[in-house]
Amino acid sequence: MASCKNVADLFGAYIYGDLPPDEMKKLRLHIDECEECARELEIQSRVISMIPSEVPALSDEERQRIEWTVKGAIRAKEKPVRIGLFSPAFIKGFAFTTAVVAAFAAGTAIGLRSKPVKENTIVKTAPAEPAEKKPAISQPPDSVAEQPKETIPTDSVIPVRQELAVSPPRRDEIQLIWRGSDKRKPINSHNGLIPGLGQSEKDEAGADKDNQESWLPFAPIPDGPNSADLGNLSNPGNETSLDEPVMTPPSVSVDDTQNQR
Amino acid sequence: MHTDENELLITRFKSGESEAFDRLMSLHMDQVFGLAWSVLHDREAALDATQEVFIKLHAVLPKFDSTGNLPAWLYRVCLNHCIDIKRKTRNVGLELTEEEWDRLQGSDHDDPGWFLQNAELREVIKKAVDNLPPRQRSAFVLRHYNFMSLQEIAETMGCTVGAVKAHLARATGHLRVELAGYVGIETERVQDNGKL
Repeated sequence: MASCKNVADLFGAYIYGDLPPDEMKKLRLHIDECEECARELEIQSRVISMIPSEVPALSDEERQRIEWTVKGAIRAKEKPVRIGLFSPAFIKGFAFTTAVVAAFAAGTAIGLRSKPVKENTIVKTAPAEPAEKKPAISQPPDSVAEQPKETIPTDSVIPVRQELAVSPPRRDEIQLIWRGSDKRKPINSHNGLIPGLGQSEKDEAGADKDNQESWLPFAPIPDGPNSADLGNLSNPGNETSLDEPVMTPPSVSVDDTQNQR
Repeated sequence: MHTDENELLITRFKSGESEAFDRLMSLHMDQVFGLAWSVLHDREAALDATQEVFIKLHAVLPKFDSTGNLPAWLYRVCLNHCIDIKRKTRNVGLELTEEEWDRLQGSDHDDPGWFLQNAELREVIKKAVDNLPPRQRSAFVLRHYNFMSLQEIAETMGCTVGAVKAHLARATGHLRVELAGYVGIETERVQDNGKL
């Protein structure tokens, strides 16, 4: 027969029904014979049954709150660790960043110094007032290099030379469109060179400077300087009266311009 | 089945699937909260304790053996955490509302006197459970509130099944001494082995 001490160690498990069959049998045999143990077991059973065993259930909001809090704490822990000022990682990063910035600054400085100022660049400024009218015939400069930067009037005739000075034209890119009257004959480009623009090229070719062609796109103003033989600008032997314009800009009719004087 | 799912989820988490941890959390959240509440008897504290347990789980999960007993580990961490909290807040009174206890008791009494008597009973019960020694309280809470088997309790507490039985027996003996008067039984001195 089991002792009361040995059986007493089984009371808790017996109350919850967790005893295996052999121990259950051993305990039952003992309490059948021991009234004290039987009474004690009964009291304990009543006390335990008095204690509620349910626990509150989690609500959906509480579940969500737990999830968010846990995920937030995890994310906070996964943030990059602060690097000390004198740590190797910081020094390496600082050195690399400094090198990149220095290389960029040096490259920018070199690029700015070596970049030449483009010739014949046209600086566009505010459009001129309509009341101001510039003469249709512009005096060509002596050399292309001396041509100053000028504003482009929007409502006046733009000399072809200045217009084409934006970028060096190619032979096949230049289109001379005649929109004037039949009296005025268009002049074809001479050897692929636009009058005036080909000055430097002719100089390089050793052209006679005395026969430098002054270029007049329209009929010159009487007493205007630099009236030239326009025939030399086009096909040789083609004599063209100074009264007749050599060339007109595509967008403006020379007749209208002449009538406005 | 549950064990296989735990093992699969741990393996997936180790391979980089963060959603596996979310699934683990949803699987064990109720049990962990229930255990925390049964020790602390405070809803907010139990929620905080539950969060702490899963934060700790995420930290150790990469090194956790997928074949290990994850529930036992969770309950152990929860128990230790809650017992530490209990030690720090030993004099804090019960914070459960009457409505919560009424729901727990399953009572639908309309007599105000009954509620008053029950309120006193609630306080006494919780005090009695709180006064249990840590190992006995752990064994009692895991069995009474979490319905864990003796084997599971042994794995959680890190002891043998026989030790769990002994802890449980002593816990019921102490509770018998504290609460016997409320069941109409004269309190008698009980020795450690539960014998009168």
